[in-house]
Amino acid sequence: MDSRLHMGIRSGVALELEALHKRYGDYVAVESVDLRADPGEFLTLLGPSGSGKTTTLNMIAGFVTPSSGRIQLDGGKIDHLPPHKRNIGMVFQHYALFPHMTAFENVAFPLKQRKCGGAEIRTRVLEALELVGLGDRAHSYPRQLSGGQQQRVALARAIVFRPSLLLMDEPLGALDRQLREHMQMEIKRIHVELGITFVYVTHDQEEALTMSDRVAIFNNGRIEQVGTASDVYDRPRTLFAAEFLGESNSLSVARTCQPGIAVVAGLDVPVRLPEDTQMPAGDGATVVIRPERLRAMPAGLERSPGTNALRGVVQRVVYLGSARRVDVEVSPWIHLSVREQSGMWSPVQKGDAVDIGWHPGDSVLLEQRTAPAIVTGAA
Amino acid sequence: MTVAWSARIPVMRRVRPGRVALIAFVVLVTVWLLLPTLAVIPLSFAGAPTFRFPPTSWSTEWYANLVHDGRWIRAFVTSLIVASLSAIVATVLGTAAALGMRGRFIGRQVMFVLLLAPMVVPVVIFAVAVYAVFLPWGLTGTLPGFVAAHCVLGIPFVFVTVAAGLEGMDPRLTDAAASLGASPIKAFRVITLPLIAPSMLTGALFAFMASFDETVVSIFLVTPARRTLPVTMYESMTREIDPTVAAAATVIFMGTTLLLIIGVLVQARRRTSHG
Ligand SMILES: Nc1ncnc2c1ncn2[C@@H]1O[C@H](COP(=O)(O)OP(=O)(O)OP(=O)(O)O)[C@@H](O)[C@H]1O
Ligand SMILES: [Mg+2]
Repeated sequence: MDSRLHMGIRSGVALELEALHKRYGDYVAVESVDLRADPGEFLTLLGPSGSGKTTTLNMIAGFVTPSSGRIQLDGGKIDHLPPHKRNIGMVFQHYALFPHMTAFENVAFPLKQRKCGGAEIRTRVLEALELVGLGDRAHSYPRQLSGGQQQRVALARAIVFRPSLLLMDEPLGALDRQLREHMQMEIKRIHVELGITFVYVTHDQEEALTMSDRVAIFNNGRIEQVGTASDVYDRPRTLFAAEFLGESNSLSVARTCQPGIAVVAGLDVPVRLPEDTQMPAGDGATVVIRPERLRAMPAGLERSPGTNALRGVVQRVVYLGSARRVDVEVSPWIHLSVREQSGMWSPVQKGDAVDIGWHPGDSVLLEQRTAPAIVTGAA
Repeated sequence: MTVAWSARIPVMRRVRPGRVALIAFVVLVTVWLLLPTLAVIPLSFAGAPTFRFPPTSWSTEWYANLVHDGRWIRAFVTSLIVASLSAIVATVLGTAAALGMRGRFIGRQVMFVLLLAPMVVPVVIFAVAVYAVFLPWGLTGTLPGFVAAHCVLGIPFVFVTVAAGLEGMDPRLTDAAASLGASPIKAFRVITLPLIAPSMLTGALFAFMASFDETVVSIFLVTPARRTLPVTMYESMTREIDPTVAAAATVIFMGTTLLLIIGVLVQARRRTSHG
């Protein structure tokens, strides 16, 4: 919530979801979702396929009626309003452009519904097309435009009527990587320029981390965690959040003997935790560390006091281009991955005995036991 | 007369020996199907009042007969009115059915079979049933009676073509229209309707023809005062040996062929413009 640094006139409004539920028969698609988007915020719903992101978006837009719960826009309830009276812009995954209308007519559509005059429609449509960089394709039909261009028309159409909230459902899902990255920047630019509230759906974690002010991580219809990109990446609150966002190493904890110390199951090695860690009351717990926070060094070297260390054998070194991954077996059921940026490679190779070290502040203690399968393999 | 209604023009790219054989076979089958129908054309220009084929002398006497005999004109006009009204009713109902059958719901399969039943149920059985129901209600021989019976036969054609058209439409288009501020009625009028209009038109053409050449049900429903063209032709064949019926058949043949070509063209245009 603290990263609202960018400038721009704030014309967005707050969106509030309260205890939102959606059931299809016995199947629960969305379960007690509480979520707030601040005015002008870029909020991303991130989660795997089937986690309820689209269903949530459809409830906000009014296409799906919630089984229970409340939706408020700018402090007022909108639950009772049909979609066409909510004044919420939406960009669909497959563009949903009207095939029998030109780009101009598509973008003019919402203005016509609002009974704008011909001259006003013309200037505003051209302005919107200009904003997305398509001023010269106004008279093309959707089928004459590339995927990226169609998506821009869809974006122009969704913002031309100046909604105070814009919903986007995996708008870049169908584009190739380069175009995606370009469009991500374009969308960010438009967000800053318009200052309206964005609710963005994606299952691409990189996209979520780079674009959003805050990310809400969905899993099985529930929100696992909400926070800024660094909140959710560096301080995951659930195993799911830790594992869904990038790679992570998980160490199952046998017991926590004293504040700030956890003992790794099966090793009897104590691991230091960040000083402010709340020690769990129950017995199941896991320590999670990001691979890029680990350092590998030849075994037996002097290490700086106060850091954590585990000894193992390098099983595999995987070259990744801008980095490499060193997979280390600490014990038959404990494997760790170390990620080293290119140019910062340690002098270890396959078969070497290594000490893996990390700063206590880089470990995160979660009150959840890892499933056995996760103990053995860090993705 | 029966005309294959799902005529499709194959698109040929490169000619290979196998293809040549296939094309030859298709031409053969087409000729075999069409020749008996085409034989009616020379017959209609026969010089003598017989059905001898090929005719030994020529005249346009039977066409003059067709135009001057009020019986033929009346039958033709009746058929035209019945077919037009049936096509309109069938198009409205068939389109509504196709729209209603979108999505999943309990009993959808059953509904599907029921909607297509008029295509499968033997026409004689349908005709007897219609007669039995219409007689006490005084609907036999009336315009509403003909339209009610004929539109049922046209509905499956409209349903099938419009359902196919809807299939090709992105289901989120109406959601998009709603999010942009269009009421459901407005969204239907400016988005759905224009996009399925070609399918509706094709369906309407088929429904028109289904009614126009319908004979069996009509035989049960006609009264001396109101006869359709096929019934008049049938009666003319059974009562008097007179090539006027061949002239009438030729006119209808030309008319329906024209309609079919229009239908195929509309379909082809739709495929290239939204494909
Ligand atoms: N109309 C429906 N009837 C029954 N189940 C539904 C319906 N719509 C969605 N679901 C179920 O609800 C769950 C959530 O669906 P949703 O489309 O919200 O997922 P999602 O997070 O958007 O996934 P994806 O990334 O694949 O788009 C899915 O398991 C889906 O099968
Ligand atoms: Mg989805």
